[in-house]
Amino acid sequence: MAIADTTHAGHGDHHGKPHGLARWLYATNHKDIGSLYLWFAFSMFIFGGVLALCIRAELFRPGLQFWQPELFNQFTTLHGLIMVFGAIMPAFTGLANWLLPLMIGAPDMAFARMNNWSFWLLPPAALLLLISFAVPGGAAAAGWTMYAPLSTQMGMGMDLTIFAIHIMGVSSIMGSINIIVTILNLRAPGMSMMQMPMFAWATLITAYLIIAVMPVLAGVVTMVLTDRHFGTHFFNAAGGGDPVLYQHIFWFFGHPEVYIMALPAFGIVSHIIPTFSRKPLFGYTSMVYATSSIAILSFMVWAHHMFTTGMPATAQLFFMYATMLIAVPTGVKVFNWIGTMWQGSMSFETPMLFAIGFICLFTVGGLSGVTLSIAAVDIQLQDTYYVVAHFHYVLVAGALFSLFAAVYYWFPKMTGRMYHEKLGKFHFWWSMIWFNVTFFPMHFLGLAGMPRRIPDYNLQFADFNAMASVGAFCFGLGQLIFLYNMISSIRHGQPAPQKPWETADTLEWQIPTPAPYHSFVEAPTLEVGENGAIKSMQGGKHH
Amino acid sequence: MLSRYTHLGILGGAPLSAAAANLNFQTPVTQVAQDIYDLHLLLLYITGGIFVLVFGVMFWAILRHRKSAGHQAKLFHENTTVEIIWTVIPFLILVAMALPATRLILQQKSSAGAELTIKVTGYQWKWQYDYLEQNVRYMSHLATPQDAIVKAAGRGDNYLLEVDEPLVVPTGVKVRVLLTANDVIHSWWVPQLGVKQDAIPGFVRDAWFKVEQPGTYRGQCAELCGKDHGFMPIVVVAKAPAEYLQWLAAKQKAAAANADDPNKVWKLDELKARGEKVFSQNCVACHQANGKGIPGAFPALDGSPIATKDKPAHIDIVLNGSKKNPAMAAWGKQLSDTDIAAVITYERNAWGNQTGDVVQPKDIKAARGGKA
Amino acid sequence: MATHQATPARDNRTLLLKLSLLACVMFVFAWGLIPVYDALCRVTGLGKLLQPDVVSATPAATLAAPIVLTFDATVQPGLPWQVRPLVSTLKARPGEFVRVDYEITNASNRRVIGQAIPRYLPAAAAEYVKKLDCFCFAQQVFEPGQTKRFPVVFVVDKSVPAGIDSITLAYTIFDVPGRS
Repeated sequence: MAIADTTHAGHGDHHGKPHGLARWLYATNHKDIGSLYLWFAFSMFIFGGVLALCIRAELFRPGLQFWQPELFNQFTTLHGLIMVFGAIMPAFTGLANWLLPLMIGAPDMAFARMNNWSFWLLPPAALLLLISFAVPGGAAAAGWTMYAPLSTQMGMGMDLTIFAIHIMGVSSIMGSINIIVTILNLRAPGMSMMQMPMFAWATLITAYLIIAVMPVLAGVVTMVLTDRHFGTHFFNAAGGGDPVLYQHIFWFFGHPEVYIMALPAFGIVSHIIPTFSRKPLFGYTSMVYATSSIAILSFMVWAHHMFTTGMPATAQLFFMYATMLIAVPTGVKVFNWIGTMWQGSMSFETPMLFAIGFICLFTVGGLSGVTLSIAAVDIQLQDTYYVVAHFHYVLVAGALFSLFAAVYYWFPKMTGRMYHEKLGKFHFWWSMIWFNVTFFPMHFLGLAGMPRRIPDYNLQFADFNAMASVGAFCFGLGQLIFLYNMISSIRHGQPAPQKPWETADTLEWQIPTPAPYHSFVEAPTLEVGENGAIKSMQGGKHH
Repeated sequence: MLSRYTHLGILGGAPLSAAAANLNFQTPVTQVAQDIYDLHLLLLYITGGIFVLVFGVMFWAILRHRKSAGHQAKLFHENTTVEIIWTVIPFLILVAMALPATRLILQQKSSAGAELTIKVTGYQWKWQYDYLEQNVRYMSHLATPQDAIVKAAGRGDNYLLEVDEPLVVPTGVKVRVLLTANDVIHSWWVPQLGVKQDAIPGFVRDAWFKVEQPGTYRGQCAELCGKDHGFMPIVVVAKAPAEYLQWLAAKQKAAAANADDPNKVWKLDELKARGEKVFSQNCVACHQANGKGIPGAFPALDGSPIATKDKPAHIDIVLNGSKKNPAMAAWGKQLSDTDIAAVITYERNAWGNQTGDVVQPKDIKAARGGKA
Repeated sequence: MATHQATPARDNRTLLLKLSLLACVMFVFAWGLIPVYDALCRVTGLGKLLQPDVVSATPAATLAAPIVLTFDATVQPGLPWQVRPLVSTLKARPGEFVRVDYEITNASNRRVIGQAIPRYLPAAAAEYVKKLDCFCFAQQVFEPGQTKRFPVVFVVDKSVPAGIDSITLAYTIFDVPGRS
């Protein structure tokens, strides 16, 4: 079968690692590709973060100080695009690459060469976004949502952005195919679907979401492209088109995209909380069903991003009810995590701190999400800083904090060394404090009437903006602690034991530390409990 | 730290009380805005309660069920009763939230029975108000001078929230606004009225409000619409019906008096003075008050070949926009012949451009239709 | 892991064949949607904004409360026209014939073709406004400086729900590209 052929080809030569540039350029090893993804995502995170700081610098005080409004709009646009498509999504794909084969006892990802291709598509796409700042007219400045007809007005920076989105879309679709095939076909004997680790479940469902909606995004930006250059009128009323159609298609992609960035986080936290509570995950089965129902519901709520476009009341009501319904499975997940912590024997290493931080902040974002879902109230909040606060609570806290948690948690397995625990804790507290200083005041700004995506504002908004800017710079600075901790620990960290966390019971902790370059070249035979907990393992050879 | 923020606020001229007052929505002045305010407060209490409850339990666990406190883990991992309870209770809470919300949505959507209809058209980057039945129509531009934005000179309380011509409505009357746009999507938002509605080019949407108290209510465009999205405020002035009628009559009279004779021959100074006003309302954002533009983005007019030599090209680009740079709009439809003649004359005689050229309204009339 | 033995080359050929077939089916499906949509619009009556409606021979005014009708027109950029209804608002009972005149002037000195699209508020009112005559039924050609008046004749259908007590008929007028 094709799958067997490819995996075999990926391991045609397993006599030691290849060296030099070729190791990375021709990488087919899931661990190498995973590391590439993670480093790429981190550098994009820094790039997007610098853009965010450019935004916050301008907003520190009223008036135009540093940038012209057009450039400011380019910053907000590229900040959003880069963080979503360059940082968060690749980071989760990278983690999936690193961990899935280890968690389910597979030798590698199913399509090792496609895996290489799906990573190496990303840097050119990022480059396109980067150089778009230098083309006439500058980078795309229509917001990451790129609403038509504003996006049909832009200069060629928009074309570069559209092309970059196409490439990134192809990359993430290929990554998702790989994940799905790996999980469905390459699980070690003895591990059934309903025993899989939550992380595998979450990435599996995420991968399906990506395959369902990335083509929709590619389609809608292609429609913008043909509107711009080939005389079509999809979004131009003069030719019989409809600008609101763009929003419908975009958000049909855009809402599931929110869960593409949140579900893997749910998976990660569902491993870290049990480990450090020294208890199995509470309600594994309901977790799986909650994750699936969130994914399904996410296809039915897109128009809640469009309550002010003037939909009929019936449509508003439908989308409001559907949106509110998502709170139920999301609530179940939060309760399950707390149920896991309840009566545990908790300790608070860095991954646990980030996981608890995730639950706190994600819940705040979820509760402001419930407020936003009420269409009548959303009329006042749509396109204000309240929305900015809401989705940063969900995405920075949801995606970024869980990613930090994951990196700290699996760092010993990946590198064979321990990270610096004190620095890690400092990184957590620093991030937690300044994150809230940055984003909590934005709720008040939005309530008081400050629209988003404006480079200058009335004096009544000055105090909270100054506060948010100070917070943002401190938060940004704090991420250098993380970088330093990673680099110095990779080089000089204490050697890690095979099982650095007492009760971590999934498959990746059953193999030596650091994980052998070619792990599970022969599939092990497993006896598995819920959430991928290994009761016994036989066989399973590594090189 | 806190004292430093306050200090900054004083430097920026912000009223000290602002921070304290601005933790919630602006004071509502319509019934709908009041209902939104109340509903939001209700949601805040419910979600706040949930937050406290959930995190109370979690922090209790963190405090008590920790290894360092010697707590032994109990290895349970499911409890169907509990799981059903915490699925059903949130559902019931959501139903309780949905009921008042549904009522309010239906109310927001019922624009029937309006006594005054005003058409609002969004332009990049200003608003046009058109009193359909009263034959009054005018543009509303940002009134904050460029100097205040760039140099911090004289920023008042209404910095960026002030316009030259506000929308004037009578109190106690249900006013319906019909919204559309000329170029891209805009959104007409006045927080105190509880109205936010997108203005979509080629389509018409409506919204309504009924203000009881006279006053001035300020808002902003709420949908990213390009470069000066942050600089197209909305000001609504509610007047008692009698005063509103006075205003309307004055406006109608002024409109009749302002109708320019298209064949009048203007003098250079007259045109230049009028042109400067037109320039400051429409052109200054890109080409800048000193005519130097913004290098790389918006070309300079001062000393440019079009603005000093090629007169037909100058008229053409103002009337029909630029083929190369979509940021240069076609002004032919928005401005009258007289305004276009005036602004071209101004541009040819301002800064270092001392051509002495005079462009008359009839030149513009002749040029219209010359090209697409 | 392979469940059966087959030469990879043959396997690949079969897969290629299947995928090509799939691509062909998708291509045909995409183009096949055009007649399907046409038929769908015919059956459901969607997209009939620009055609005269059929009205029963003798519509008579009912005793239902009159509906407030508001008229408006917006000219999109690129079309040098001035369009205005001669009456901006009037009241009519469902079933009553309504006539309102629109005056259109071509302010430029070139020949211009435009097309009007009617929009209704509330949107649900669209199916109850039965137009008999409208300048939106055809593209309109204007000589330089020409002014024309067009009657718009319609009936608000008697079946209009009581909840709709005002209807706005707002035309958006577009430039038809490729004019002579």
